[in-house]
Amino acid sequence: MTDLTDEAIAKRVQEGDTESFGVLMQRYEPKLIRYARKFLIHAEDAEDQVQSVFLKAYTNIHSFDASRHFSSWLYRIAHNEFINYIAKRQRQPFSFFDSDTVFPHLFAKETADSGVREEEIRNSLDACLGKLDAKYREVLVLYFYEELSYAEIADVLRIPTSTVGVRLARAKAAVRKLYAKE
Amino acid sequence: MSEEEKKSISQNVLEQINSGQIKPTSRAYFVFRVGVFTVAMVVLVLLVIYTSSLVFFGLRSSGAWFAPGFGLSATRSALLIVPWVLVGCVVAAVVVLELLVKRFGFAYRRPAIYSVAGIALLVVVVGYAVALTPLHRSLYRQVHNGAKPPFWGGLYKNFDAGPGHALHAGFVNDLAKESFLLNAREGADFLVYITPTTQLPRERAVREGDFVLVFGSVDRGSIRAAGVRFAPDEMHGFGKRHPRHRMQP
Repeated sequence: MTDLTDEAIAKRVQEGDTESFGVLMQRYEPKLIRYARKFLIHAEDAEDQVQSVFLKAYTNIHSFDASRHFSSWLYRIAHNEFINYIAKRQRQPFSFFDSDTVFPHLFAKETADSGVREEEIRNSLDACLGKLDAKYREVLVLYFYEELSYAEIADVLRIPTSTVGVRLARAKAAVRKLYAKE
Repeated sequence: MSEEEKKSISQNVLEQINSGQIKPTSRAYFVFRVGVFTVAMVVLVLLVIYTSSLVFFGLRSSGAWFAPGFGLSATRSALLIVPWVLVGCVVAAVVVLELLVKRFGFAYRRPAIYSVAGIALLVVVVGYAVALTPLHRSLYRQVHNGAKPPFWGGLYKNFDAGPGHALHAGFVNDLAKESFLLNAREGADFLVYITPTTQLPRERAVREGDFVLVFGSVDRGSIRAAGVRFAPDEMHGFGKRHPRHRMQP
């Protein structure tokens, strides 16, 4: 079972093997808890949210298309659950319209010192995450902690790949600014 | 929360699954939902194309389509003829289609401007092509010949309002050097003055019996024409008067 891909295990669950869902949960529980804790700052019940994510994933397992990535599908459910949580509990309504997603963007090419800068940002993230807007916080969490690619983040958030780049660039700049102040 | 408690998330979920408290929603439900979504998309696309073609048909049959370039008053009249409610419906439907299409990766992975432009282009190009087919003309005739029109036949009655203050379609009569009598299709006759600034058709000189579009405001029964052009065939047979029969000797 351990050498099977997520998608193959999800297919088994779809065929009625409920125990296989436990394997998927074992694989994703630490990741989703980390995602919840970093994204839902000050959420005491982050674990409850993760449990809701797994319950929703199981309930909707037949809507998963096994030809696509299971991780993107699960993170998408988590994203929706967490966004609802933020909207309900923290009274921060999420805007349905985001001008960043309308027009094409050019994002800066990686430079030689990009790696160093990213390391610097990674080290200062924990101190700054709570001070960032949710839309910038989430993209940083998915990129730096969950190590998703731009395309995967685009699939989770359902935004253009170029917008992921723009949000990350802005989020990194905000982190640098915040870190410099402290 | 302790390590032990953290592990209990998967145990809790598995317990709920095994006890039957939660069950997966059936595959049939998702198939049905996809089916409903697909049918809704197709119906919406067909409706928006029909509506956009009706807008084009209305503009062309009223002559408003040909007004730009024939002076400010003609353009202003054309703008008054534009069925703005239908245009608003088309725009709203494009927005709804964009929201529906955003569910698909090919749409959300690119900036919204591309999918909006794609949908708008489809609606305009296909709508214009449909407007050139006999579809609307035959529905219009059904409505005006007293045959029982489809329930949305009322839409075609709006074209009876006439071509507006500065757009007049009709047949040329009593042609003189600097004027002619226009038997306008809305039922009135206008004396049309041709001045040195009047834009005349380039194809050939205007002759008696020609079906033309005259651009210019009516002043006490006469029109100082800003422009005259031959009306396209599709404009025949619209309005209260049917000049083809009237012109027969």
